[in-house]
Amino acid sequence: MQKIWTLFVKDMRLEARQKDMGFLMLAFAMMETLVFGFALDSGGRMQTDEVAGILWMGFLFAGMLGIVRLFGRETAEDVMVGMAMAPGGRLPVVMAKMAVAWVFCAATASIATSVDVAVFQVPGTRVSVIVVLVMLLGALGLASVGTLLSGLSLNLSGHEVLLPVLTMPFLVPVAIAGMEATGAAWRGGRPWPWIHALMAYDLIFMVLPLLLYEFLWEV
Amino acid sequence: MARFRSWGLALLGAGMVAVLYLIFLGSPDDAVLGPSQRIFYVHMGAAAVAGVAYTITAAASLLYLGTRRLSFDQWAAASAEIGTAFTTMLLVSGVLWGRAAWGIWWTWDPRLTATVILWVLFMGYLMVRQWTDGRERRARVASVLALAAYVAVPIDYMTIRWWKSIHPVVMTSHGFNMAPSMVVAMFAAMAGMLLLFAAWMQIRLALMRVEWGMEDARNRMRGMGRR
Repeated sequence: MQKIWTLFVKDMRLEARQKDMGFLMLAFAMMETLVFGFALDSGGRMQTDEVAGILWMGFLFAGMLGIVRLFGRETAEDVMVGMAMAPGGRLPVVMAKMAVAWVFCAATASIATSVDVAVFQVPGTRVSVIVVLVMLLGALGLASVGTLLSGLSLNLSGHEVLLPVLTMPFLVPVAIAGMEATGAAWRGGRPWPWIHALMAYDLIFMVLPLLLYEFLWEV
Repeated sequence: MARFRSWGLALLGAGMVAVLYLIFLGSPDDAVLGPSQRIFYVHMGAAAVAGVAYTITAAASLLYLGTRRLSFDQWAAASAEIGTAFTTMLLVSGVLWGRAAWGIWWTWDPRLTATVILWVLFMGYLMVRQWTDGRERRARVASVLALAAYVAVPIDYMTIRWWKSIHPVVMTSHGFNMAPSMVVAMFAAMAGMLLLFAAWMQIRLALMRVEWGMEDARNRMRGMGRR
């Protein structure tokens, strides 16, 4: 637990100094909202489902930017070797990275939701408890899949290009369930079946890195 | 071994002829779809092989991670390659059948979407194998990736049971939703395609061993050249 906390704080401090992960994700999500705002200046003709789609698309791409940086920071000076060899083993490294990714994804999702609701002003769209829950679960999906694949592709050639290509199909189910649940919550439908699907997918991809962490990278 | 291989090939040839007979002559036209129903048998055969192939890939990957024996990685790679080829066949035959049955080439139905995701995941797996240097590293990375990608297989199978889908459910807990002669043709197509998969696996594994042998020989010669 001590190692998880130390690594978590280390990444937060690095972010405060370098601003190359969370801030980058947030900036990308904001830009995406603005670009869609310009492109789809629809004079109130947009539907709640379309706003949900734009929101999740931005969230997905912003999340992938962050995922590439998640372990990418540790390649210089063989930091991964030190982290893995430090007392406590590799599991705390994986858990700390997952926690860091979740915090940044959740923050990006929360802010992006508020901005999308304000920019598109579609009746019915609002930041409700259900929508926040969906965004937090979506962030968890992104963080768990991202941690697994980012750790795995760490020392591969073309890691920056390969990782988004690999990650995207794994995140499509998260995006579909998230979009459907958000859209259903906004139009007064039934979001719970999609929330349950999101929970199940999150659970699978939270357990997988914990089972396979020994094989994610070799030092 | 050569005699065994000839017998195997003869069995495969005879089996495929029997399957073609059952598909085109032994089963009736569908009351609604007419002769285009026959695409379905190829589709089901490809689906069965894809499922089996990805299961072998996942099992071999798990065995590799447990034992670190590279022969398991060869099995995983060969099976994934063939599984991806059969998933392509599954998607193409599904598109053709969909055009005949639903009047559209494609729809974002849960089953169709899940199958495309599965196909892309294993294409990604093959891409990673291609781009990763070093046998041990490639085998480790690919094994973890295969186990993660395999999650999509049961989800793909269950989509038509969990979500509202226009994709027909053929096998239910109450039996089959089709005529008995069609069931025979369907199982024959599945068995024929599985035989084809077995033969293809044997050829691909043999080819892979030769490829690795040539790679080793090239590396040894380079080493001798440096000395």
